[in-house]
Amino acid sequence: MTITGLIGMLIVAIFFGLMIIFNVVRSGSKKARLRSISAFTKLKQAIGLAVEDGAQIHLSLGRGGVTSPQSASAFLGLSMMKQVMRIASAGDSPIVATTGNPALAILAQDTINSTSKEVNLNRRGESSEGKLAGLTPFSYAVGSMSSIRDDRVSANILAGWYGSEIIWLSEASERQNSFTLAGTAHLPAQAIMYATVGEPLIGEELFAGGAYLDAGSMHEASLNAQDVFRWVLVIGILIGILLKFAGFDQIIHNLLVGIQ
Amino acid sequence: MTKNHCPMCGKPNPEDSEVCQFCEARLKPLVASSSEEKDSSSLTPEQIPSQKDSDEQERTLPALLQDARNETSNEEVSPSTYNESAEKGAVEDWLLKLQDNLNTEDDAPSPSTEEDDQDWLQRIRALEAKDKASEKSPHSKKEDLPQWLSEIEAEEKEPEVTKDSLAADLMTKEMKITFGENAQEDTLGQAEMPDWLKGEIEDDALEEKLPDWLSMMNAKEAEEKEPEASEDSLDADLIPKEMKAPFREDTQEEVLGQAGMPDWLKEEIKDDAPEAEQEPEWLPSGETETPLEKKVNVFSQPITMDDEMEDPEEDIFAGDLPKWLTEATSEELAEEGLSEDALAEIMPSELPGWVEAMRPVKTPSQNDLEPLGGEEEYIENSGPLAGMSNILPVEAAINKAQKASKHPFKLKVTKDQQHLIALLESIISNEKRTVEKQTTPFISTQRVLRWIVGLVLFFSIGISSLYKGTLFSYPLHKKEILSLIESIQALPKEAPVLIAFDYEPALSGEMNAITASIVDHLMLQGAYLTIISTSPTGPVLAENFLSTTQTSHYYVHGQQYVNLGYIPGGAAGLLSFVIAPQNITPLAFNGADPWTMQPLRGIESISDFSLVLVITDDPDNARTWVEQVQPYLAGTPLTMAVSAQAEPLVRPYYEVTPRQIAGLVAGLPGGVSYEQLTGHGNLGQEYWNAFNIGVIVTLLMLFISGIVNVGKILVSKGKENEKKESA
Amino acid sequence: MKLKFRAPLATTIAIAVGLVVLVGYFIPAAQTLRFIFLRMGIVLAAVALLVGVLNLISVHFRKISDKDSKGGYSLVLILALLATLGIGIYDMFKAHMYGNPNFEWMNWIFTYIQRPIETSLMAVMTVSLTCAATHLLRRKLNFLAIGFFIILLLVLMGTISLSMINFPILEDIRSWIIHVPALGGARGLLLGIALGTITTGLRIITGSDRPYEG
Repeated sequence: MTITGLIGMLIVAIFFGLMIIFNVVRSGSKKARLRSISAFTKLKQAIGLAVEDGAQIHLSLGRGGVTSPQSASAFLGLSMMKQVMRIASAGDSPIVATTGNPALAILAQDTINSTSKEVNLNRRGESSEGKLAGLTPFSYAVGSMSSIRDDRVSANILAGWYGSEIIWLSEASERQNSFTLAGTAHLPAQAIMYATVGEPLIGEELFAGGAYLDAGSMHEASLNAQDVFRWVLVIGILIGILLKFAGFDQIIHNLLVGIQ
Repeated sequence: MTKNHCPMCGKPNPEDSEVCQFCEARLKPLVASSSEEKDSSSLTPEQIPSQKDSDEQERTLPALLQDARNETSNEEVSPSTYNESAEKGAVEDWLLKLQDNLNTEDDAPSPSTEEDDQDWLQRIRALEAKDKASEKSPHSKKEDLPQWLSEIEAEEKEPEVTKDSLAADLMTKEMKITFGENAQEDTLGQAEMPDWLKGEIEDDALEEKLPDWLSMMNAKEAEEKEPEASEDSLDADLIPKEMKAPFREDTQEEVLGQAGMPDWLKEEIKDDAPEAEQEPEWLPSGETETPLEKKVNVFSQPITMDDEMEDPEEDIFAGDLPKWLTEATSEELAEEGLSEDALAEIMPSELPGWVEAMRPVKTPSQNDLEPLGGEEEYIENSGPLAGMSNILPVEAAINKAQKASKHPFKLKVTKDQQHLIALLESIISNEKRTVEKQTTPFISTQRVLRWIVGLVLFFSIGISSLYKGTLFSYPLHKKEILSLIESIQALPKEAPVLIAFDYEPALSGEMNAITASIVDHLMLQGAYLTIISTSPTGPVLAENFLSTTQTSHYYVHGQQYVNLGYIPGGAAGLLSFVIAPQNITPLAFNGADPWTMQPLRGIESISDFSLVLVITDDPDNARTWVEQVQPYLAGTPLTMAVSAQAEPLVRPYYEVTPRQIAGLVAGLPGGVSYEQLTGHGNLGQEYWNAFNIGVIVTLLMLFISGIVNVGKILVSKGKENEKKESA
Repeated sequence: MKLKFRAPLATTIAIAVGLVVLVGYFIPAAQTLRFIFLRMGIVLAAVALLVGVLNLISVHFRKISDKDSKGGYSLVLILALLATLGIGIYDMFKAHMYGNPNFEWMNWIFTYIQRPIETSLMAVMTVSLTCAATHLLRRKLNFLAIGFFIILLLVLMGTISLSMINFPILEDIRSWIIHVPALGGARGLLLGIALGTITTGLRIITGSDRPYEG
């Protein structure tokens, strides 16, 4: 085992321990105090309005696969979809979910089925489903645009892995004057989202979606663990800068090479 | 069969009936005594009431009177303390006084008393005879007369009545008068009857033969109104206050005018003449009340000495008294020496203490009650509650039901509430109104702007692409490009090179321009190419690339290059390929066995390749290759050709120490620079003019739009500030 | 016999496989098992691709059967898919049977249909991005939006290389923006994303998030 592997395993173990500790500590206590993110606040309002109007909510999970680092965004999108379905269960219209990855489409359909059973959604006729809109990014974007431009849709949630093709999704949503919330882990797409989407989620705000939508205490514990490690990283970076200024960086590098 | 006439309504009832069939008044008094005693105590017209012991008489008293006597035996009631005793509920010993008075009279019956009794009865008989004679009398006096009176008439004998029995009868009659019982009594003996019991009403006789208690009453009334009046009239003092109340001045006038007839006698004699004709003087003028109302009103009047009885207050027996008993003319009054004013000043009788105790206590609500019939306080004038005020009328009140007073219903509504009310009204009213959906017009500002931008870019780039000259200087050469050139130039002939086509067909224009010179350089070096892709369209894209940009090299599949096709699973698939490439890609894109072909001969792991070139537009894809593949390369250089958008995220992998990327070409400038340095390929240079023109046009449009938008916002804000200032 | 995977069984499999693959990254002894699971995942991903294609066909076929207003487009999609599939099968058959690996028809479809379409979409995206940039200040007028716009202008100006007018300072500014603030911000975002990815993966491994509940 290399030193890198060892450090990685240690980080994972500490992360896991912190999540468990925070989950145990928070269990039974009041709801965690989270900083206000206007996007999620407006999302809940938009969902409520959609339920009142009997309008549909479109949820796009992106084109991230489940066997790559892009799967984190995809799983977050699935968690958010589950919570949105629970919140909007009182509405008349089912949720429309589109994906750009086949495996993600299967998971989306699975999530819809389980959540529908959980909230006793017995709809006659049209039912929620996870559709594979396209196999390539642009074909996926074009296929999702048809769902966005549906007049019955009043809110669009774009949570997942996107590329530059998100510009079409966001533009189509803005043209419909419907509420748009977008979040992705892809950096170029985040830049496009900031310029075109009404409520963008920048950086790791997407990964806080579960906690803000009351997906469970583990989500909140995850946020706490992330905050701890974020401070650890900040301190580590500052220490490294100081070492670099002091000229100790080469010594540490040689030490790490020797260990490896 | 003889019939009993009801003292209340005057209607005949069977003899054995105890309760009147018409008004349900008792016909026979409730006297607790045995039949023998009853028989013995009952007087017949022939009998003279015998003197009886007071103790015996007390036993016959109702329990209430006995209790009242016991409670207030030592209490004296005077006119000045009348009200106090009424409030305190003291039971006056008027009975005692009356008893004493009667006893004294009985003990020492004065010849005048006896003579007065006899005269009174004779007057009654005379009146009866007159009534019989006159046909005008609407009522038969005989029918209206109680039995005992009729018996008295029939017999000319003086009734044998003892003083005690008379007193007892008097007391019982007084009690009955007060409680509204049947006034019918057994025949009294006429010998010792007071004047007010005896028969005929003659003015002179009446005046001369006023009973002492009546004269006392008159004296007391006179004293109340004229305090200087003498106090010698013992009769007035003897009359308890409790007795005075039911008896109005008017009634007393009547009594006086009619030789002191009691009210209960008046009821029996009174005929049913219309009230307007028989309206006594003591009835206030202008009032039109039915007999029932009058009786009811009597009960509602407060029992006060000071209150002037405006409403006609009748005794409970007053309605049925015969005419000859009730009529009192002014001539008779003049003969008696009494003026109407004097009569009007007669003090009302004093109620016994226990009656006073029964008075309803005035409650605050009673003061707020609006009396019926007007603004004046309602005073009952009939019934047992006659003289009381602030009580509910019996029937007249029901008939005279009034509407509840209307109070103005005004809500205090604030301005905010009014606004919300108006808002709610508008929401409700708009609910039914259909709103036409606003369809976006085909020609909108956004659509026009998009067309303008598209056309400007199209024409600017299109026209510039036709120009073959050089308008723009070529970019500076960067070291990462030089590193890649060095890495490729260091490859031996027929070196196996792995090329990953991980970009989308949409970016093939840029990527082809970037990588065309690199692949051309590799082909010039004689390298064997192994093509792989983690994108489903990658293999086909690679074939297209080779067939369009590298036609000069005549590379044949299976000889100079091998296309391994698509690796599913993303990073996991890539990692698996890195660990065991032959297991992951056993067949080539065309289905043949690639691992026996020349390009892959001797290749068992990824480190066996001489160079790995990743062509991608996605920085995360590049990161995946660096993170998953680079640790397994073992010295094999990993180079990349990336899109301009991925350069910021990929460059750190080149700048890090030790470098994880041996060489990097980013964007069209990098491709043009590579072409310049190698001297091979010109695809990038063909696009260079159009590329720069496009950037300049875009820059200009952004600059103009920025100025316009900022100017609009500033102008609008200025207008808002002006409006605020003007407001 | 109808098999029904209950939630506990699916959760157990997910947790076990996730732990093995994670541990296999750090412990060499578990790499073999990890490799087996990875290969199984790759196969499942390929099968999922086929399932996704079938799902795509079913969705559009339902649109046609429901006589949706956009059913015409769905009909074109299904016909194009079937045509491309047929041509691809023919090319593969021809390559296996006759040893001709050119895939001539597939290349023609890709060259003259798919690639032009996608590049055209990319060009439209350029126009859309330009329009979005022009609307940026109208949509949001705050410090961040103004800074975004100014940096955009500076980077574009640094990209131009006019032969007549040479402003090397523009290129230096562009280079500085890309290598310092942009890169630093990107790294910070990537670190945050990495932390979120770790927590998301751990939630999946521990069974807190179960997107596979059927």
